[in-house]
Amino acid sequence: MANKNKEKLVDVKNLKTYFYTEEGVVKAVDGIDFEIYPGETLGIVGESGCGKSVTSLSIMGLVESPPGKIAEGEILFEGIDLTKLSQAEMRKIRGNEISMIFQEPMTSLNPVYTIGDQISEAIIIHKGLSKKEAMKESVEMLKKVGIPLPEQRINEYPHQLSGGMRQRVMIAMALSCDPKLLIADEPTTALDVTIQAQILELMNSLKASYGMSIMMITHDLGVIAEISDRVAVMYAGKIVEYTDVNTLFADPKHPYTWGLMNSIPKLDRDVNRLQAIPGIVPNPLNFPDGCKFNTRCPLAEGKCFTDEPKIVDAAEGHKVRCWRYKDLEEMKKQNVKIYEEQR
Amino acid sequence: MAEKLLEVNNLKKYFPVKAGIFKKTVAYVKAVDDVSFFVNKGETLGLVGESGCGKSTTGRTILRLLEATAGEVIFEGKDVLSLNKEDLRNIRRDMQIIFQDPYASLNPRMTVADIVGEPIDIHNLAKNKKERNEKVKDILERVGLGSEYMRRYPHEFSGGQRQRIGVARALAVDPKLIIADEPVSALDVSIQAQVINLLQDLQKDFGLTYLFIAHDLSVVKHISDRIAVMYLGKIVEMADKTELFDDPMHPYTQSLLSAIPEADPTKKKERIILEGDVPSPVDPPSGCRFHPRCPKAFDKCSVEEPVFKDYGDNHFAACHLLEE
Repeated sequence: MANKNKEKLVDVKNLKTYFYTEEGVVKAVDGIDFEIYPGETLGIVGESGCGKSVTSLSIMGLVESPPGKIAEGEILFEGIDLTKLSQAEMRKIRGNEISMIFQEPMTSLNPVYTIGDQISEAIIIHKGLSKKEAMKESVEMLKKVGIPLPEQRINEYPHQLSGGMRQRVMIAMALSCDPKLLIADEPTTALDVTIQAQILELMNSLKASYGMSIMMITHDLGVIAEISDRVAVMYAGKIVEYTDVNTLFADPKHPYTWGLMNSIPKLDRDVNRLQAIPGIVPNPLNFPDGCKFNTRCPLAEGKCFTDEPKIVDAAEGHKVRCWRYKDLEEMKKQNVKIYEEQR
Repeated sequence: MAEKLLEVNNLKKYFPVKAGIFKKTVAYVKAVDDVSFFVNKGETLGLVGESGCGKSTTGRTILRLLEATAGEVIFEGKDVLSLNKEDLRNIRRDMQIIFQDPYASLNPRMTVADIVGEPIDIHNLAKNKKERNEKVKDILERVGLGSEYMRRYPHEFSGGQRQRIGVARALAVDPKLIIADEPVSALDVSIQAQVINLLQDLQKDFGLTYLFIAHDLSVVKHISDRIAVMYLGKIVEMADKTELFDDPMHPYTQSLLSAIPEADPTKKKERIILEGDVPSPVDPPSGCRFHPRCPKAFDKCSVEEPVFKDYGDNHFAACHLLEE
């Protein structure tokens, strides 16, 4: 990969974010490693409770403490460890070098301020422009994210906009200070598919023109396939598979990834039954011993129940956390249906 | 010839918009505006569309959870909209609904046995408590929940399990038609597949007919026999699912299908990106409601409303382009 020669923008090492609750310690993120290179989109995919959002909040320094805490690990951003920074130092980076957009734009926008006030606030704080200049810049930003009649829109309030428009405003706000990294946490989940298509296209074109990196957090494999260069699959606070997007979809090596891909209906081929992954995600207060997927994995045996597998290089640039990934490979070759069509 | 179980003719549901101190009606939200379709016995009709298109309102109006403004709903030859209270209660035994949000649709103070047992009590389907509990146990097992869960409360269950409870409650009265309103949208993908498989198994076992309302086109394609596409209170296209996906006639259907992100990075789809947002149903566009966003609109589209008609093999559509 060409990436190898590039400087890493983000380098997360052995990150552990725990929540200390009355019932016990919730290991929301439990020892993950990944990196983001300049100009690329890293997708993080997983189901609710897998730790993908906590990962992004950890990078932003927005984990509520207490009860949450980064218990271990480093988050290097251009070589600086964000976990060691003070609140004041972190504020300079947040919104300036690293920006974030969320799933529900309505809850992230202040209902009593106009769109223009909210975008220009960030510009005034981080770029030190006057109010008038900042408003002008806001209009420019709204234009860039494809909002019609931006001169009028800056005087409107969030409730006057549709969901898709609000998400565009969020993006405009996030990009107003030319961040190097944009973290997008399920940015299209609350939107309709035709609007989702608009937003994904916008993000792709802005990424190209700004040369920024994107960390895309989603549960939707379709969105991942659409926008990512590389992908990390998370399950129960750990990364279980990590590789480039084409390899992931062509040759998933973890039984969980394989299961996820087979549990979604495909548009181009009809099947009678979906191959569902049995059971449910284990309770984070009471994770099983050994591999955390062993309660649902059809391949789980002996060692899987006692020892936790390490993440290893299964191939060049393809990491997987599974004792039996080689067996899965054999089974895939022989076309064995790994997830039985159970009733 | 397939037998029609449900027939909906020219159904309308308008919600008044009230304003001023005297709460005068100043306008109407035309949530469902002249919708006609049918569902054959034993099949699944998928009803798709984006938020605000009126798909859920259609489902609720059929069951008279909302009273229709105009139109007909014929279920097994009976006009549901003109039934009196008692006849309505009786017919609801045959028509049940499953809701989207498994967290909000179950009473948190009732045990699972009572939630599932309530419809049995209402319709007097059990002679005594023992028989009722036997029935509840049986149904819970059919939806993949053991009888050990009977004494528990909804908060003790995961989303997928709660949706199974919702399914069990609908099944308790042995219905013929189930209206499933976004039954898997709130669930994680791996759990979604479990619930979809369950719904399909139950359909086979009990000979159920489904009206499956959803916004996720891949899910709808998987489970449906036929699909109706709604836009702003109207059905714009309805056809057999393979037909609809292989040969979509309406420009809205075409763009909707092209917008679905597919879990295959090697596939670069030719996207038809629609401009703008769905207009307000209070003041829908003149002529064809899709014309302000339609990439193929021409003069006639803003003036005259296209007729919804059969273009052969039960492939219905409403578009002026098709008439040319």
